Amino acid sequence: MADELCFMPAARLAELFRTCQASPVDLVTAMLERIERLNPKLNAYLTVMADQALADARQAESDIHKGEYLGPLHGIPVALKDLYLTNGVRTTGGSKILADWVPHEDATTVSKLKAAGAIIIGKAHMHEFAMGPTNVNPHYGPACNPWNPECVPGGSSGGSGAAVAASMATVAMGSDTGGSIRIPGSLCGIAGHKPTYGLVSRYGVLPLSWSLDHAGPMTKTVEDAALMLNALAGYDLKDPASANRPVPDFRDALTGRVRGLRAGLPRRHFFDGLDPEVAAAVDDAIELLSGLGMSFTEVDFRDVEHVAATTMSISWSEATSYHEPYLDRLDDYGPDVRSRLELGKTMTATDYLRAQRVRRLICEEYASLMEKVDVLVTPTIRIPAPRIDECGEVLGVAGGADVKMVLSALTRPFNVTGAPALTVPCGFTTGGLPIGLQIAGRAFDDEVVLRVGHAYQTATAWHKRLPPV
Amino acid sequence: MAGRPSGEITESTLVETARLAGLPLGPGRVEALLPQLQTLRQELSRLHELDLRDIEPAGIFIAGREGQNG
Repeated sequence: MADELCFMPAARLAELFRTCQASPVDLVTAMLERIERLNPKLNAYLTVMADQALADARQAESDIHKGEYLGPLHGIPVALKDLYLTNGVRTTGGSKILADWVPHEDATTVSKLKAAGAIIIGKAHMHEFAMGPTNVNPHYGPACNPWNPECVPGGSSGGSGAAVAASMATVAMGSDTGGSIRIPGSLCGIAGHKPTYGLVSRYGVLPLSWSLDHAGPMTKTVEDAALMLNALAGYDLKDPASANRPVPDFRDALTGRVRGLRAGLPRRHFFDGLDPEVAAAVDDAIELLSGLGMSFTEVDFRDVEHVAATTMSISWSEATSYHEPYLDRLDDYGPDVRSRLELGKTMTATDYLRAQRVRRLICEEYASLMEKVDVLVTPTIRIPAPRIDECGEVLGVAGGADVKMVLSALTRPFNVTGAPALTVPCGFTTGGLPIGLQIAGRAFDDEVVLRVGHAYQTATAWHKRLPPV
Repeated sequence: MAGRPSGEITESTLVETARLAGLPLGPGRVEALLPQLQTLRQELSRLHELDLRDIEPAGIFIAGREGQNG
């Protein structure tokens, strides 16, 4: 029974814990054994908090038995991407620069998860300083994909994705600046939700690019993402981007009813250069959603071709600004991150402001587009997970583009707009690698995005498959 | 280099740009960075094709506006 608990989504565990039919101690014990067995193979965790997690599990069990049940995250093990500040626990950012850094406070999101009764089980591996989509990391080795350890799990929240997919955590936190929740979500076959900019506090999350960074959940199911968002969302005075507005109950939004919702298919850009198996899986998903009563129309997301240059200019400038105190230690960065920071130093103020002006154009175009439809439906990534040894290469897809650009081409637009975007698994390649479907919506319309994803999962079983580890 | 959307990036422009930016270029860095900077500048030059008259920059840290991030 204890092993079975590791594979269950949080919503199911919550019901078992609430009714005292299962024990958080049994779950955490079994999960720690699983981590001990699998982490040498997958490298999903940089720090495992075994003693603290077991102590927290005992406390949770005792509180629940006393009738002090805190809600659906009580007793649920959470992996934190290692850029979430944790009081008294090292937070490396996947870097050598911060290898021994121990913060003295928790990120706002970590405090909220703890207040909801969640158990922090460890700090998950990541691309160095979140500056890349592969999780190939020169300091700690690559994280590996549970569906095929020779492949990347995606990044930058690759450890979080691998941990949830391999049931080494029930849920996880990622961060997303150009797709870093959705890319590993897609490549690892789990749900990943990038909330609307401003909905979830970024305070205490090591920044990559202030105006593009989002914090959000990575989970086995969309229902779990909604449960997480219920605990995470809300105004935070400590985050200058935090939105002071009412927060709905995201789980209540999962009505299963999508009939009448209007979906846009932005064929140009989002459906260009797709791997044939990705294209087929996404077509099937569209057909299924259509069968559930959603209407689909082809739309054009104008200026989307400028997203890559816009995000490059903004994120490299902002990242280099954040890293200025460490730039006298350039030899301590990995080669790809070092080059980005050096190139960031060559950006001018007018480069940055031009990109922010183009960004306004793109945001206005997106707002106009979303007056016609309720959501956009696209592939999450053009290709399935590349092999680790391919990640410095140029791929023969999408015009022979660099693998890193290919991985983030379809996710970045929603960082520029700040709009909510979700990935859910929608199939597998013949080689057994997951394929992701992306659903994006209007700003602060996360409920609709989650509702569509949940309805899709109610009608399919892709999210129930387990990797062969 | 602002305002030079199509200017050719050479070793000497990279070295001069780095010098102005206060970036020390150690051994091997010019060779490593030059092709990347050329690609970057080529990408960024596409933004110069747009008509941005009357378009103000998106603001950062202003959440809550419907439909846009800025």
